[in-house]
Amino acid sequence: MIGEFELLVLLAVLRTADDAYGSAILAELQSRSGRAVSRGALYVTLDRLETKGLLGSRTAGGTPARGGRPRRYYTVRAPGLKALRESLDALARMREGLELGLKHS
Amino acid sequence: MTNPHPPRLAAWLLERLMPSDAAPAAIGDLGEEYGELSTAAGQTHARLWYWRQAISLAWAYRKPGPRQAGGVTMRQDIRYALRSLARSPGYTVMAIAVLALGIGATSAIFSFVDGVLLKPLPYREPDRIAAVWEQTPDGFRNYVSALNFQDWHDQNRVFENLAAYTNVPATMMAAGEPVEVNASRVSPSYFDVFGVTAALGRTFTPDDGSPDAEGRLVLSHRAWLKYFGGDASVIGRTITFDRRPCTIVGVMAADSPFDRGRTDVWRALTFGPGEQTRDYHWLRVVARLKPGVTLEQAQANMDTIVAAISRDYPDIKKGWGVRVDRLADLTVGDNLRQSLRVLLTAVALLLVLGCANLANLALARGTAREREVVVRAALGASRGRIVRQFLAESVLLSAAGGALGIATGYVMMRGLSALLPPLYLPREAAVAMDGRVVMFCTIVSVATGLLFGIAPAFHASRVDLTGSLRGARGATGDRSRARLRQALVVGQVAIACVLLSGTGLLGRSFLAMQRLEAAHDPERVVTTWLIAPNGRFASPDEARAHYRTLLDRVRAIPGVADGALTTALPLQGWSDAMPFTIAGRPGVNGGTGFKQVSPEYFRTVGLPILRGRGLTDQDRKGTTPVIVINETVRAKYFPDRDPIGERLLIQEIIPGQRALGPPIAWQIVGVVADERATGLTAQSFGGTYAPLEQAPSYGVALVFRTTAGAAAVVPALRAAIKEIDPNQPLGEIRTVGELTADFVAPDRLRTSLLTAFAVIALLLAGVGVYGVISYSVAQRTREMGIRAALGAGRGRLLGQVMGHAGALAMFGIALGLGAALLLGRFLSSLLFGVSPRDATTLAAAGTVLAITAALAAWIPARRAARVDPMTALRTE
Repeated sequence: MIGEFELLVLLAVLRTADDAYGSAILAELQSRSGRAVSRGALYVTLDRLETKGLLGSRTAGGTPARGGRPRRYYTVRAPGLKALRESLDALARMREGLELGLKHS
Repeated sequence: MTNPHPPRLAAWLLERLMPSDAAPAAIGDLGEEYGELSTAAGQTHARLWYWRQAISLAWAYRKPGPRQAGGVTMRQDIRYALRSLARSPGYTVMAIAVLALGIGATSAIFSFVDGVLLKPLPYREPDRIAAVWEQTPDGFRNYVSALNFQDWHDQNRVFENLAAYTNVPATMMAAGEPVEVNASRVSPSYFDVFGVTAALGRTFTPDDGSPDAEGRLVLSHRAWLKYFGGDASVIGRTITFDRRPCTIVGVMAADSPFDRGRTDVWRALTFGPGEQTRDYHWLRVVARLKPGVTLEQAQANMDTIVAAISRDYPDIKKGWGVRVDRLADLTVGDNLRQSLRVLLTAVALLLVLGCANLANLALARGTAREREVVVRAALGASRGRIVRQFLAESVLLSAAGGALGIATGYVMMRGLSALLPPLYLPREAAVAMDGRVVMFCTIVSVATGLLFGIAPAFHASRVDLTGSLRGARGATGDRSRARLRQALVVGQVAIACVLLSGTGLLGRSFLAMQRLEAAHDPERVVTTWLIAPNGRFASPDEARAHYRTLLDRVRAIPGVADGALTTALPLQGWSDAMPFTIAGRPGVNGGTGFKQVSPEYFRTVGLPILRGRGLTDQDRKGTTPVIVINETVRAKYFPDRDPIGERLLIQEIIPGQRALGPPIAWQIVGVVADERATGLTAQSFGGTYAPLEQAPSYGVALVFRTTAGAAAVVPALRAAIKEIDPNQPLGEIRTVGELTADFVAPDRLRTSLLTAFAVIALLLAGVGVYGVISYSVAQRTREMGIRAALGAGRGRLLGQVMGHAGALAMFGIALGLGAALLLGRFLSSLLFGVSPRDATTLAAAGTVLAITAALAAWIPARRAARVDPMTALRTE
C-alpha cells in the first residue's frame, strides 16, 4: 500500500508524461492539488518510489541554463501502475455510497 | 540566460548535503528555474527563492537513522547547555559580549568589503561594460577628444553602445535662486551602456543627440528631492539651466549608482563648434560590448581604428593608442581596496584573539566542572556525548553572540558610513546589512563557536575516572590542558603584537601626513569656486574685466589680506596637463601640469619664489607671455642651467571651448616651490603657472587669506559677489584646512578603527595572561607553600611566577614581531614617511605588550608570594 502523498506524486508523474522531471512534476503537483508542496518532500519521495521499484528514471540534457547538469525524467513502472490502481480502487470503494455527503464539502 | 550564477554557496552546500546520485538533477532543476525567475521577478527575489528551495532539499535529505534519535538528544544537549550556562551567568554574559563585539565588528567591516569589492557591479550584465581611453605615446590612459570619439563611435564593430561623458559644474535656477550643481554631459546612449532606465519619465533617446536637443535633462533622485521637492509633475517642465531653457525628461531611481554618485543632473551631450577638436582631451568613454565579444576582440578592433587615425593626423596623434578596460577593474582605487583588506584582516585577527580568550575561559571552566563530567561518564555518557554537550554550549553562546553581533554590526556599519566623507566609496558600492552579510555572519558565528569550543570540549571529555572520583588531581590531563592554555596565551600575545605594530605604523604614517600643509596656515586660507556657465562671458576681455572688479571687491572686504583667482585649488589637481617643448632644444618633449593664476596666488597659499620673480600685474594682455615653473620642472628639465629667460612652447588653451590654439612661447621668469597640488603625499608633479590675464579661463576659484577667521568674512563675501553678478552661484566656502581634513578623512577613520582594534587586542591579551598565570598559581599553591616552608623568600617566588609569565609573553612577542615583519609589505602601499619595518615602531609595540603582560601577571604573582605555608599545605 502506498501513502497519500506517494499516490499524488505517481499521478503527477503520469500527468506530466514525457516532461516528467523534478520542476515540472512539482509545478503539476502544486497547481493540480492546490497545496504547497515542498521541493524537498517531492524529491525525497521520488527517490523513495524509485527505490521501491515503482518509478524508473533516466537522465538527459545538460543545458547551459542548468549549469550543464542533466534533467532526471521519471516514468511509472508496472509495479507502480499496479500500486496506483490498488490505491485508487481502495479509495473508490471507501467512497462508495458517500457521494451525497461529500459533494458539497 | 540573464544571470548564469545562482547562489554558488547554496549549490555547493547542496552538492555536499544531498546524496551524490540525486544532487546533480536537483541542482540543475533549481538553476534552470532560477534563470527564469530572475528574469521575471528580479535577482534578489530569485536568490531568496533559491535558498528556500535549497534548505527544503537539504532538510528533506538529512540523514535518517541514528539522527532521528539524535534529534532528541540534540534537544537534550541544548536544554542541558542552557541550564549549565544559566548557572554561571558571569561567564555567559562575558562570552556573549566578546562574541557580539567581535562578530559585529567583523560583519560591519565585511559589509563594506562585500559592497565595495565582492558584489558584481549593480548594472545589467556588468562584465560587458568597458571603459575606453586614448593612450598617450608614453603609455598612459588619457581622456578622449571629441573627434576621436566620433570616429570610434561610427567605425567600431564591437560595441553595442559607446558613450562619452564629462563632468562639469553648472548653474540651475531652482525656486528663483541660482544654485551650483554637479552636472554630467552624457551621450544619449550613456544610460543604455549601464542597462538602466529612469524611475520617472525617460532617459535620453538617440533623438536627444541632435544639436537642438542639448536642452534635455535627467535628474538624480537626490536632486529631484532637494530642488523640486519630489514633485512628479516636473517631467516636461522647462527650467533655466546654465542660462538657457532646458526640459526635464526623467528622474533616476533612488538608492542606485545614479543616486549615490556625484552627478545631480545629466544633460544630453552634443559637440558645439568649439568642441569639435582632436587634440583637446576631455571626454571619458564607457561602452557596452556586443554579446559574445571579448575584451581582447574589442581592443583589437579599436587598435585598427586608432592606427588609421594616427596615420591620418600624424602631427597631433603620432604614437597615440587606445586602451579598453573592463569597467569593473577600474571602479575601486588601490588605496581603498588595500584599506579594506587591512581592516578586514585586523578585525578577523581580533575575532580569533577573542576566540582564544573564550577558549581559555572555557578550559578553566572545564577544570572546574571535572567532577560533573566524571559523574556523567560514570553514569554511562560516551565521550562523544560529552564532547557534543560542551560544543552545544559554545555553539549556543556563539549563536547568541552572532545574533547580537548582527545588530551591533548594523549599528557599526551605519556609524562608519556616516563618518566616511561623501562620495568616498564608488557609486557602485551598495553597502548594506543584507542577506549575504547575514549569511556570512551566521557562518562566522558557528565557526567561532566550534573554534573556541572544540579544544575545551575534547579536554573535558578526557577525564581520569578513578582518580578524579577519589579526589586526586588527574595529573596528565591537567598538564596537557595547561600546555594548551599557555599556547593559547602565546598566540594571543602574538596576535595583539601584530595588530599593535600595524596600527603603530599606520598611526605614525598618519601623523606624518597630518604635519603636511597644503597651504601656509591652512585654516586662514579660504576657497570657493565661481562657476561660469557656457556663454557667461562674450569675450576673454569681458572675463578679464570681471575678474579685476571681483578681486578688487574681495580684497576690499575687511579681514581679507591676500586674494587671488586660480583655475585649480591646492589638493585638487592641475586644471590641465600640457605637453611642451623648449625653444632651442628640439630633442626635448616634456609634459607639465598647468594652471592659470592671478599674481597674488603664490603669496596667498604661501609658496615661496625660489628663483627669479613671481607674476605681477604688469604681466597682462599684449606684454611678453611669462610663466613660472615649479621646482620639479626645474630639476627635471633644467638640472644644470638657469631656467630664467628660457622659453617653453605650450599651446594656447582657448577659453570657453574645448580646443587648443597655436603654441605660445612662454618666457620663464621664476621658479616657485612645489605646491601640494595633487595630494598631500603624492609625489610632486611638474607644474607651471601662467598669468590669468594672459591665458584667461572662464571657470575659476577664488582663494584668499583672512586675518579675522573665515567665518567672519563669509557674509561680506556673499554680498560682494551678489552685487557684481546676481546670477553667480556661490559654491561651498571652505578653508584649505577643511579641504585637507576631507582629504585625510579616510586615513583618519582607518587609523582610528585600527587603534580601537589594537586597544581591545591589548586588553584581551592582558586578560589572557592574567587568566593563565593566576590559574597556574592557584594550581601550584601547594608547591609554593612547600617552597615557602623550606625557606624560599617572597622575592624568589614572585620572580618565579613573573619569569613564567615573561617567558610566555616574550615568546608571543617574538612570534608577533616576526609576523609583523612579514606582513609589513602588505601595509607598505598605505604608509607615508615610515618604513614597513620601522624598528622604533616595532620595538614600541613589543614594549607595550611586555608591560601589559607584566602588569597582568603582577597580581597573581603577588598572591603567590604571599602564600602562607600552613594554609597551602592544609588545602589538600
